[in-house]
Amino acid sequence: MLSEKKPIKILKIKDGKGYYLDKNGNYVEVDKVDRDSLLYLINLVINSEVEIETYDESLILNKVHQIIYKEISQKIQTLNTSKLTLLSNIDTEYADLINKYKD
Amino acid sequence: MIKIDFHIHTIKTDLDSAFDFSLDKISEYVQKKKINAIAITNHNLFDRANFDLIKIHLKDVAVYPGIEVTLEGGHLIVVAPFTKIEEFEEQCKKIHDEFKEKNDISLDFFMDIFSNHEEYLLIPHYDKNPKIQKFILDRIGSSFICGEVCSPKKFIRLYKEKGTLTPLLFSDMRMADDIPLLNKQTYIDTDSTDFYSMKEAIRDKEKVYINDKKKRDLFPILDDGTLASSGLNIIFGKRSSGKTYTLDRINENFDNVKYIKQFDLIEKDKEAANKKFDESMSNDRSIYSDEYLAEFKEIVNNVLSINYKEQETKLSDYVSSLVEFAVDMDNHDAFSKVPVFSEQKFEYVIDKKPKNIIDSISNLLDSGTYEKIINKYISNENLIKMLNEFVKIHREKKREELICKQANELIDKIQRALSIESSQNAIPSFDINQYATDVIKKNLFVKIADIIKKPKLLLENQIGKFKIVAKREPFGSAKELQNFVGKKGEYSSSYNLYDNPFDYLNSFEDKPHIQKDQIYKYFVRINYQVLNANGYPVSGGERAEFNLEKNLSDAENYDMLLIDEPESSFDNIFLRTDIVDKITSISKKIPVFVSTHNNVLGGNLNSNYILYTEAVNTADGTMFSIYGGNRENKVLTSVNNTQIKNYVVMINSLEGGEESYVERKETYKNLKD
Repeated sequence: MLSEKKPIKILKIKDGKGYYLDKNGNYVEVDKVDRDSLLYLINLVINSEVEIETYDESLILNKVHQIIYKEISQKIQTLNTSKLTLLSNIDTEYADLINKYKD
Repeated sequence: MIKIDFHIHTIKTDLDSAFDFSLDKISEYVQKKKINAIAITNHNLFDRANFDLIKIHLKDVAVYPGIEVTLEGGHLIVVAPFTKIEEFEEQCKKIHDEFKEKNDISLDFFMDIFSNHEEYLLIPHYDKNPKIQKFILDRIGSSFICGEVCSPKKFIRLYKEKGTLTPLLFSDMRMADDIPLLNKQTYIDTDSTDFYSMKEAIRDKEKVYINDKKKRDLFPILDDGTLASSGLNIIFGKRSSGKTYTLDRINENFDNVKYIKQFDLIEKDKEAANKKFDESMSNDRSIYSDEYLAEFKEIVNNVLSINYKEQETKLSDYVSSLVEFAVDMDNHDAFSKVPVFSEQKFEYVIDKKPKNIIDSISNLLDSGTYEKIINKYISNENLIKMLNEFVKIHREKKREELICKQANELIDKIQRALSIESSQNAIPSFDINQYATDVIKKNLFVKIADIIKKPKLLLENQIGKFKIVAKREPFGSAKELQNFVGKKGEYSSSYNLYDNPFDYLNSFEDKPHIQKDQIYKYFVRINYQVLNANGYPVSGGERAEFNLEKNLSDAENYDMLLIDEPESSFDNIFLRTDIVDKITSISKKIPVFVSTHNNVLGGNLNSNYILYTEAVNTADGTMFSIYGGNRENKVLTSVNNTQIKNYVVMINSLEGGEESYVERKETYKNLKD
């Protein structure tokens, strides 16, 4: 039986706070986010299957958490939709050339 | 004997400069030059309608279908017999379409389309540019029986050279109303203009000529059939006997001719002569200077395009914001305390190397002619492996770039959203990489601007007894700078900054009458002058001598040199010591015609051939007769077979007649005794 790889949850909401997944596999409060963590999250979106808990203002009580969680979740949603096209643009570059010379 | 021209253009293609085809002109051409057979050979095109029109119009001439193919960069004429015209038309259509798409025809494609090429006449550009590459001659060598040359001299050389193709000389003319009709055709020793008879005759080198008298070293220079040597020809004749007229006609009948006309190099008006010389020197100086300063110009313009003031302000804003942010740490609110609030974006430098390497590998794989050489060192298999690896690297880099871009967008959005709520100002973004690159550019500019000011001899080019010298020197004063710029204004404030290239550069930016793209010229003075044998700048008379030397120095780039009475402008000593040898040497490479009645030139130039012009008054007005023959011949003969004694021509032309020659000889003898 083929085991389907489970999407990685990278954003979640718990006890009125927003959390993101850091590179050590821990969920960290979103007000601790720095640029390297954001780069890591984008990397995951591009290279793996990810899922997030949808932003819901009523579930997050802290204003700072609301702002950051909202921006990150929006970005991830947009990127998830466009990533196939973006990656295909990269992978089709030189595809003709490779095809021309393949065995 | 029949006369042919198998290289004629009648339709403007992308490879031609603009011209309007004239049916009258092609008609005039075949009549005036008495041509028996032609081929219409447009670039990568055979236009049936155009061909039919010409064929119907030129009833007395055999008109053959042809095409000039751009084959692997070189040019190849293909001429077909009438019987094959339908098939030929189809083949040419394919060539036309392929050329339209690829701008060149590969040998494989050509062989595929013209698989029956042995039935046609193939004429490669042989000693004519753009030449057919050697590998093509090697590969389909047996199908080539002849090759096109660009000048009579090359025709004669190729005829004499063993193991070469039969040379053919054609006009390669664009048939438009305003063109001169060239004397570049080939004679074939056969009676018929039938395709196969002509092809068979061309197969034999001994059956092609460039004149109808079957003389191997001579070629026709005028429409009446007057011949001349492909070496050195001297034109003698009394005043107003038609020497200049003859040179003018020769000039009309050939292309790529260097014609030094009488008094061309000397002005009777001293002031005008000086002005002309100065203008010519200024032009040469400007060309040299532009070439020398080309790279410096690029650096200067690059630095000018960067707004360093704005960069400094941004850097300063960035630093003060950072300091402010740090000092005010206690007053930070929850929004500004988020780490990403004060962080800079990722600076992603695009690495162009993998892309360049992929292009290079792709070039190696597509090397065509050179594939064998490349495969001697590296196999296609390894090249393909390498290609795959670099494409992989390139894609990885692109992914990294994409991720950074997306992360930066997110950082920007979060910072904006937080700063709306925060009482703290966000730290402005500042591209430190870009700033560093710009500073490096500026430092490089300063370094080169300092070097370029140091005096140095740049060029020392000997032309005869003269020397062209170019030196670079710094501007010595504000006045000197102002004279050079040639525009009114105040230059001392700029000049005061001359030792500080960056400030000096900026000082010109405020001057409204200064063109920004000319500023690079104001860093160094390029001194360009002609010096005489003693190392001094040339004076009045010497300038004309230099002009002649300069004109002769590049004459070999032409197909023919004509000089009309150089003795009108120069003294005998200069002609004998400086010019005679030079003209003789040029005539070894291209045909030279010198008209003269000067005994220094006539006597010292070791000419191959003599042409004597004579004005004859007839009922129809003045006609010019021309007699020709080798220098050692007793008699010179005209095209009508009338003759004149060579001795009489020489003594009359060079010595003013026998009587004055004897008298002068006697005087010298008496003086000596």
